[in-house]
Amino acid sequence: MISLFIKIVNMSISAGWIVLVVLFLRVLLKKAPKWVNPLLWGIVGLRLIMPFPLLSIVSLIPSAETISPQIMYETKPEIHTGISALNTVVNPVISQSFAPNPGDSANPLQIWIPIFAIIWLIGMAVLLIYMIVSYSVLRKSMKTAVLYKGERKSENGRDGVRIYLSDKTSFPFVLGFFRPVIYLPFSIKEKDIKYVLAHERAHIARKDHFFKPLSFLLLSVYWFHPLLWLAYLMLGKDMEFACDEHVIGRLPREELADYSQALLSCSIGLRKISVCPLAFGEVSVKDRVKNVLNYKKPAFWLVVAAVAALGVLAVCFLTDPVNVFFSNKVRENTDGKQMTLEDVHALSQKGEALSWTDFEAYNYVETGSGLYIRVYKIDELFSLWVSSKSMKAEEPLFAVYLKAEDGQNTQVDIRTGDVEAYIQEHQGNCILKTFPYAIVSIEVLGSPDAVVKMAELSRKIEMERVVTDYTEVVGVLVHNVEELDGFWEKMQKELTFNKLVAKPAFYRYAKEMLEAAAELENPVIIMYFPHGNLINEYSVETVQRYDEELTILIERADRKDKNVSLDGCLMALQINEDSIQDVTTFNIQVDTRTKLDGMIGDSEVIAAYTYKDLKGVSTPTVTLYEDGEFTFFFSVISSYFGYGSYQMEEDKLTLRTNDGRFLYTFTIVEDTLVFDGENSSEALWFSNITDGAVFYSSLGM
Amino acid sequence: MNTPKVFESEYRFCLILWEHEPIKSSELVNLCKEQLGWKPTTTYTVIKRLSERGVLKNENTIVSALVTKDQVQASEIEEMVEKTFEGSLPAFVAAFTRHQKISQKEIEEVQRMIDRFRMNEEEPG
Repeated sequence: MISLFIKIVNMSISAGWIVLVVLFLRVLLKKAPKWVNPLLWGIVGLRLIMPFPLLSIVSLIPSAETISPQIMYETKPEIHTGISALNTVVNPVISQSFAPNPGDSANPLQIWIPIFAIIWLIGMAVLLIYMIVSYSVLRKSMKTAVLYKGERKSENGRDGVRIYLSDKTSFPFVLGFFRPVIYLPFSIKEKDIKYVLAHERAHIARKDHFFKPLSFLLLSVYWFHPLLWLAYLMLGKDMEFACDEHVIGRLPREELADYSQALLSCSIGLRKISVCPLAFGEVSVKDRVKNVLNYKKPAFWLVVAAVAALGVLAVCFLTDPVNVFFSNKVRENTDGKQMTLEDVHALSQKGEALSWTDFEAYNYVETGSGLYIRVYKIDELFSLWVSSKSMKAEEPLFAVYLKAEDGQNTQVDIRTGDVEAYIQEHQGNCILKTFPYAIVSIEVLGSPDAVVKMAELSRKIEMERVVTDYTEVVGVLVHNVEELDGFWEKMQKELTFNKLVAKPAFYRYAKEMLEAAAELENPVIIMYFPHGNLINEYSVETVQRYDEELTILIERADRKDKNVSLDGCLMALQINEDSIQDVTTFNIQVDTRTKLDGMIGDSEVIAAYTYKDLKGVSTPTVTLYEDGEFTFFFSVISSYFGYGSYQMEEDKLTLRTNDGRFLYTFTIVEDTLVFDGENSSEALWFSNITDGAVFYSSLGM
Repeated sequence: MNTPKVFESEYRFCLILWEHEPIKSSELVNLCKEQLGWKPTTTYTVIKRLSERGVLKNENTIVSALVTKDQVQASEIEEMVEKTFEGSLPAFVAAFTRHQKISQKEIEEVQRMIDRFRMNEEEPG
């Protein structure tokens, strides 16, 4: 339901853009026939009804998905309006207001968005109830309305529409969706009847009696968007104008005055009763009379222009943009030649005259989206970063930076700066290969302690975020390419690589490293360690060993239930006895909600039980496998999951995690599991499972 | 004696009653259907309401009036007392126009516009 709510919000935002355009078009089309305007609003309505918009390249909708359905799980919540100026204004506010603090248990949006959703439902219910109730009341009071028998045959429902006179209303109106009926007040003057009927019949001919309530229905769903109220208001007005024109287009010119007179007299009524101010969506009599008296049949070309505008609007705004520029694919070129420092020297001589053509021959890795950035690797320490707005040969380059990957985060623009000095300054530095976290190649004492120490140190020198208390990190020991492949396959399911880093590149480097290591008979360890975005302290608390598999388990250092980000680094290390020979790291993002099917093996699932956590956002699940193993997923915001072996004795189910640290007990009651809090470990990993919580069988769901 | 009040549509009903009374309620229902377009339930409701108000009496399904046409016409017909939708027709109903807060000044202004238009139209050629 939350995703439905977010989708509704996104749809309303898209429609909101159209409203702005229509408001603008209405001004342009002032002299055009007025029947066009309701159609323009109709496009807004269409947009709100279409759950699956079509895609086209001419779409002018800034963004089809302003609010991502994942926003609740982001550590830095943002919206994507499609207008960068708007983004830069709005997002800092949003991130600040809704980012999880280090002291919070969850992304605040996880609490707020459901609240908003409930408010939306309440609002919708209120409006629907209003509509149903007022409609019923209206119908009821029209029961005593009497048939109108006009003197002239032409006024008697010759088109099948019945006309009634009522003493319960002082205005003429049309009621009914499918078989509309016209109601006239008793107080209506004889001479006005003809025009009033003509107007009401125009409403019926144009199906307003159907579309107006339909629009209100739509409004009750999308009530939270102020622009849509405006649209509804304007739709009502435009319908009136359109009907007026429908009538007077068929009247001889002298009768325009009579029609206007009817408008005037019906608006006044008996003025001794206090009347309401201009009710919602009303057009003032003055404007309508003005419109009537000034009516001229619109020129043909205007009609054409209006219809064209309609068509263009539909195509450009009923379709969503195809994202032609966003691409996760990162390109690289390995067929050229490696750039060298000499090349850099030569290129720097060209200064500002440098362009993409000068770089064509070299190998690069392309990164970045929006902006085009190519990284030309020179050697372990240096690389050249070239960036520009497009790949066109004549496009001026933003930057041509020579960068040393030594963690000092400096660079020199070779077109203007002193390249030689920069090289001299950085050449002696240790090579730190990573973006952006520094790993120092230091002497360590045997693995895996070595690895741990190294990680510790790297964290300590890492500038902004310091992590302490790594206890144990285990990586996968990879001996050959087959093992690397196996590991790779598993990781691909679990991790998504951010677009700054080439997925194949990590694999390639790891493979190269393996090959190099094989020659020296050094082991290669591939491991993952996280760097929290907003969390300053966390620890890898437990290791899940499954042969030599890697599992990811982290926890806040202070052990309170806190949300932890899993984003981190995938790292490959070549270890030679007590030193690290080679390191390569890649940043990755982890999807916390993927199931770890690949990790468990191919054992059959024999039972699964789920606890419907109404307070939280997740559904903790216990899964029992045929081979005696279990998984216990606690919470969507926890990276920890229990894994180990289970025992069933009579009506007791005991789960023991493989690391031997946690025990969970359940009582088996028919096909449910009841959590036995007293005989279980306390660590429940951000879930709201309490003693007595009932887990229902969820197999087959 | 206080003549009971009768609303306009009830008045139309009474016209039928005065013409045909005393009349069986079922026949009255048919007449109302034909001339007023009323559903039977509506007719029965009105009969009940008017009998409570003392306008007619319904004995053993025979309906007869308790007031005469002259009496009703003489009394004030307060039109607007129970008009439910004074100025506030539901927003989603298509109408001709609604009552608006229109000042005397504006009324005159609009009237002038109309009159001016008429004059221009009447001028030859």
